[in-house]
Amino acid sequence: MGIHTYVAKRIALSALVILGTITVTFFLSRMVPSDPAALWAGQHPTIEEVRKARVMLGLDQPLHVQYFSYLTKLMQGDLGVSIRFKRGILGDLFFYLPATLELIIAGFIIALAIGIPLGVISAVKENKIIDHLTRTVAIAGASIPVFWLGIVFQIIFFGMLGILPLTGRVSSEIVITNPIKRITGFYLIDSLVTSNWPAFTSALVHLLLPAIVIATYPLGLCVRMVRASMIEVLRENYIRAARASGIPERTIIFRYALKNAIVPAFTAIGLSFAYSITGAFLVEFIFSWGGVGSYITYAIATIDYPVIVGVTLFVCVFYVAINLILDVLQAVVDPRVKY
Amino acid sequence: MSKKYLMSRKAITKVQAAIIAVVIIVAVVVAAYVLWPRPPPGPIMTVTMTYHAPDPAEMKVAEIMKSELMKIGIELDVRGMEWDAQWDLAKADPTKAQHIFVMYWWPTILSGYDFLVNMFHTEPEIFFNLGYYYNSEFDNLIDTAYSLEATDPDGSIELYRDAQEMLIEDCPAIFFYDVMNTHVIREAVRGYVDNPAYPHVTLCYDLRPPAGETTFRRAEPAVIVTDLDPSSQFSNEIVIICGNMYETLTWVTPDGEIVGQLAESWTVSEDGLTWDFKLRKGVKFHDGTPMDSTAVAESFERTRRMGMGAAFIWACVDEIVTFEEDPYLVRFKLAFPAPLDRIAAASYAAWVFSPKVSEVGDDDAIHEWFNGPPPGGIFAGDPPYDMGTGPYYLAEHVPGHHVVLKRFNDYWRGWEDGPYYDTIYVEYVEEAATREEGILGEVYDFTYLLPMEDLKSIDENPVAKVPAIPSFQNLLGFFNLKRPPTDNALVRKAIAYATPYQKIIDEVLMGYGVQSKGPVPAGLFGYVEDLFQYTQDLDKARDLLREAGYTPPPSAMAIAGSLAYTELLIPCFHVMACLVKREWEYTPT
Amino acid sequence: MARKVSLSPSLGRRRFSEARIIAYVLRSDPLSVGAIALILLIIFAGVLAPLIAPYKEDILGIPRPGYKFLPPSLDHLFGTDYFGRDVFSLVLMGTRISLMAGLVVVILSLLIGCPLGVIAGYFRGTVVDEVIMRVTDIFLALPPLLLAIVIAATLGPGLENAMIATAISWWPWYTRLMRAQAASLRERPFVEAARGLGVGELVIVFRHILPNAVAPVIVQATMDIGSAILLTSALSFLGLGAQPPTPEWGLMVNLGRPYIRNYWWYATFPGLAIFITVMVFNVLGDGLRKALDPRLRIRRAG
Repeated sequence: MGIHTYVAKRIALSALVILGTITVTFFLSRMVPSDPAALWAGQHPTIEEVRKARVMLGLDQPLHVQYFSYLTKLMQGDLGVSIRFKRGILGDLFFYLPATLELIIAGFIIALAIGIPLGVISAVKENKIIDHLTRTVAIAGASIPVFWLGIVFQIIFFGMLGILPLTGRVSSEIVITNPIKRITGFYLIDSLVTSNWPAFTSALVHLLLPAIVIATYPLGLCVRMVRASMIEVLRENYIRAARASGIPERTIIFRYALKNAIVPAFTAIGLSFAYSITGAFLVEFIFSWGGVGSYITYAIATIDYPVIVGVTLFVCVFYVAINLILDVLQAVVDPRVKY
Repeated sequence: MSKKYLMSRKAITKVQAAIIAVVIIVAVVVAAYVLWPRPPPGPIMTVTMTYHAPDPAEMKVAEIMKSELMKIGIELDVRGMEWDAQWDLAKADPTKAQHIFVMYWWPTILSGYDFLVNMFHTEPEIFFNLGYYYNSEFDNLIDTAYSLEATDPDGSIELYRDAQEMLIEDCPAIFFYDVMNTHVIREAVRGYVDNPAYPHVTLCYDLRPPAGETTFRRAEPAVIVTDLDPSSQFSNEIVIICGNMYETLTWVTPDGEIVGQLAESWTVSEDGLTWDFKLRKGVKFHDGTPMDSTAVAESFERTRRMGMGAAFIWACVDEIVTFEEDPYLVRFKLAFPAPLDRIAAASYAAWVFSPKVSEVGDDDAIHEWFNGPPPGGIFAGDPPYDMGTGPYYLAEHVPGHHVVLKRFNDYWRGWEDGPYYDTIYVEYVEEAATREEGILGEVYDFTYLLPMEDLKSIDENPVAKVPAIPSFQNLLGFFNLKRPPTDNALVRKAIAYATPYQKIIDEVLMGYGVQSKGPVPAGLFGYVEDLFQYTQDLDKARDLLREAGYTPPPSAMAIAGSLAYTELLIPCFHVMACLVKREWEYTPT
Repeated sequence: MARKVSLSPSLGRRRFSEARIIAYVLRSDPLSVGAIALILLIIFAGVLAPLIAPYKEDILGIPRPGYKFLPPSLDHLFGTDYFGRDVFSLVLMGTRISLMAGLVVVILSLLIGCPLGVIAGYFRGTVVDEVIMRVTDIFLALPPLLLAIVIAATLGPGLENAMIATAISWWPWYTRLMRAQAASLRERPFVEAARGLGVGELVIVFRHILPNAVAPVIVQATMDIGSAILLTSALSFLGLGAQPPTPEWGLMVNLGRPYIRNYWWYATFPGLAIFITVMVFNVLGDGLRKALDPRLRIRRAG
């Protein structure tokens, strides 16, 4: 088929899927049993105001007309306006996005830093005690309720030991005394760049617990994938040949085996990055993180349907995009993939 | 030999297969009918109740109500919903709305009239009369009482009494309790006085910081800013607006006295229809414009025109007159007598703001401007970002996170009797545990809505104190008068007699409250000391239910039955049954 | 009447011995054995809960003044809550809710997903397959928790709604799985033979392919019971699932949040129950997956 056709086909398919998700979320949101026009018009709307709001929101049109106008607006990048805050959704989304990204990336780094070595050890010492232990840890990572783990950590490190903060991205004192200048929205980067050391320390300390909590699922997945992959690779003939020719075990493992083992594990690990977004919602809820997760949970609680649709859409596009990138990357890198 | 191979040897004719199928179907149906669990003697009716989910006190009240009502055979289906969701449910179709709507109320105008008119006056379109109580006799009583407040207080009280006795008799709501203010303030901060007339408001100008501190840090349990337009705002932003950013003509002290704020003095005519306010001189708005009668008149006119938020408080005003000769005199001509001095001290819709906003455009444009982010809108350019006269101006607003107010140096009261706070920092901290930790760790100076169970130990802690005083806030449960079974007064009274008022005070409020006497809280004009109070009397409740035609079981039987049903409910059958016969809306059984 | 000869005798025999192999492998894996034992224990605890729980009336929500927030002790193994109710009894009774929720969600998802998957796999390459797969892709593109939250928020709070929402987010996985299985089975000679004999297509699909494709899906479904429990309790934690005073684990974790400074037990133990239950199902699933690994089977057969 050729790589170009493959990529084109995948992009077309992804676009179709995105269109489908738009449709599903749009019609879902219209099923919400409350009157968005009345919500928009505010606390004590008169009939006239509600009617005005209905026209302004386009709710007096038949459903398919609303759908098409929504689509056209999307093409222009307009996600709509939040009913509660009367502000543009896309703008707010980008405002809250760095917080979430900072959290997910930090968690991911932790997951990879611990997961890959653990997976390798587990594969090398297959079926020994350490393998069983690691397998258990990996499964635990996938089974542990993220919301519970966060609370337990809060109880231990905040309630009992008192060494880590409970919620927030940065302590209140820092906001007053050394406010972080917003450049990228990533508190760690912004405070580093402006040499704001107290803020940097505070942001790091606040990031610790939520990042560890978010890392548990990818950690488990990473360990399992790397282990399975490594086991397969270690059985290969060329590894046996390398051993026979006297190359030290450590070099074999890390130079030859790991390189080849990473690639198949790659896709799954990449997917878990996308999956972390949903974990981020719960973690943000518990730690009052102020990212996209907090934004959407507040919107769901206050039935702010444009926000719900907008954020769901955004997350789906993100998901689909990551899937697409991973598929293409794997097609390019892995010769076994047929296209 | 595999089993399948063996079975395949025997040929089954079509007829035989059909007979087997029919037999199996019949057997399954019979078994299902026999084994399908039925509710044991128990619910004689199902009543739905909604409450504000994020509020733990309301949730506990709902739980207690559920367990008490079970004792007289009523199954209470409780649902925690977000405020707007349950409000929409009530405003939509009364015949499908919840049976009991649990809600807190606190006054805008500091008179019992506020409670009575907002919650029980006939409304063509439902706003807060969530029981759909339509009684024109009651409406007349309270309207007349209100008009007599300023000129004939005794007569007014009598009418209020009659009106409330009507409410007790008709029982359109359960009057749960009057709750106390449970604010938590740092001991080191001096000058804090809890003012029930303005709940949750900290007047930072009156506070004195401990040595070396200049920032007042407040942890807020709810989203701070929804609407920054002083004419229409009706929500939590009151905590930064009231007394800090904006001011009113008059003010109610903690002792209930009405004193002048932006007005120095006022007079009222004999018939109560003409009020003259003499304004204070030398007051400046945050943008530098001096305050005069035009500013006052335009502020209130705009609020009345927009008709949003609490604009209803100006319903009594016919005309606002300003005089060219005297720019510090404002005359209000009323359509009917009303206590305008009290109205002008309201916690919403009575703010005076700079007339310069009219340069922005019409009312809607100004509204968008007040709430808009840069490049246009109120946050364009440098602070101040508000148009008030108060001692602090809005300096920074990070939506969903915090608000910063800074000192306004030209404030009319001056800054001589210091030390004062220079900065106010209000942060949205949703987690109760964080706020509690923060105040005890002296990271915050003020917070509220901490778990009731911890208040006593917090008060005993030397770092903080809880100056619990009675507030003007109470909890009610509105009955849906348009939907059976609560459309029957006997049923309503039965539920009112089944409510465990004292248990709620003890278990939910931990003693920080008292049972309500009618809808008007103690201390407000219109409160009747000897009004009849329902008390918990399960036998009386049962009698009333029998009168209504039901047969309520005795407590022990009801509890045992409920237990058996719940035990059985928890595994598969209830779930499966509900999935099969999806109930999309509440239906009484 | 002509004899009805089984068209897939080899498959039938294979299925029989396959189960034997799985059981053998599982028995030799200590983790899986432990997992099965624990699952049985949990199920027993759930079934016998009314007999074991010392204060089972507490599920009715009646407050017990004077017992408020007692720390864990011999009398109250997991302490008491804000109304004095015994947390251990609540958690025990909540076992029933969670197990049933997991089972119902998985069964619902199977009911929706399997027929769709089998049809898509059998008619692979045709319009039917394309349509079904696109719809599946759409639902797979929506992150599971998010979709469940949106659906639950639309339907309103309640345990039943949470289960429906979770099932709707879950079924695409089974469709995919079934499709792969059905597609590979379609090439088998016995199917060709059936077609040659003139057996109707739908009959082939549901009588021959479906039963034989179902094995790996059942394995996946067993593991998914744990994940389904996780998802429904997450929804209850967010307030979209079970309502108070239902003793649902996720709900109790949420209710315990304001008290974690002074009364940590109320949030901890229900969450621990979720963790152990989900983990046990996942360990079993991991063991089953190892048992079904073809390489292992070759080794044993060879």
